[in-house]
Amino acid sequence: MKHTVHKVFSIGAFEKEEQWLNQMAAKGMILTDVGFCKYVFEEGLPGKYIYRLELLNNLPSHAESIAYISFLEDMGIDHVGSYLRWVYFRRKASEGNFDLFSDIDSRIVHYKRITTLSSVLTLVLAILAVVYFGQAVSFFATHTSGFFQPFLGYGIIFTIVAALFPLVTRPVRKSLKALLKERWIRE
Amino acid sequence: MPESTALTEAVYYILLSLYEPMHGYGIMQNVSKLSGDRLTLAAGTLYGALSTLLERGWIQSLPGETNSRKKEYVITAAGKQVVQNEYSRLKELIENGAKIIGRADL
Repeated sequence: MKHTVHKVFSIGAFEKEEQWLNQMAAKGMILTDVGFCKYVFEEGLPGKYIYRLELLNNLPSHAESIAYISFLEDMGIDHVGSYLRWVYFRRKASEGNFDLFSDIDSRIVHYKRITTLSSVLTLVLAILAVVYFGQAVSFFATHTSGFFQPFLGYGIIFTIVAALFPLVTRPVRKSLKALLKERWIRE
Repeated sequence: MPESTALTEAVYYILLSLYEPMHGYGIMQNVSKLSGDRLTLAAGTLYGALSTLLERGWIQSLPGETNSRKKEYVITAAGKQVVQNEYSRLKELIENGAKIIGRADL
């Protein structure tokens, strides 16, 4: 039987999301598809799979992503689904502990991919906010009446959303910082 | 190619594995075997390392067999030189360690 669950995880909480999916799998709720804040589970053997998430460099339809995903599939890893650049993988728990990365450097590369995306999104939204605030200022300068102009509102909304990304990616930046420090003394 | 910086464990063992042609899964198994199961390469890490090694020209992929889509890789002359340098570096580390720790069993 299929169960669809709607749940929101931020870009910075992918490890929490992973943990949740693994807890579901341990209970016999096996993830079979994903969408925007949407998870489709099927009932199955509890603890059969271990799930991992990865933010790829490109969309899953890109040639580089296709090559990567098929490489993982050759290693006994299933590609369960994807949402934008996020890809959901799983492997049978009977094959042992499943991780996508086994050293500090490759974990750093993955965390950096996430913080870079977050910075780009923050920057784009901040630019939009500035543009709208500019529009609002010139509107007020040329109109003596008319409070119902939307520019100020858009500016405020974009400012809030822009500020949200650095906030929600804090866990990732914290993990990244710890790894960078670790790399000073260890491989 | 004088490479003074250390290779990662993963890269060193991947390069050693590729003195014989191997595909991804074979490399993973071989590295586990060589290290007595101490080092298990995760698939994402292995893929990233292989891509970088290909770019550097330390390994090359072999023209695929028609009946298999799995790519096989093999070390190049440049790659062997890198392993040789790393071997000398590691040897120096071991010898200095031995001298100072004072263990004669090396």
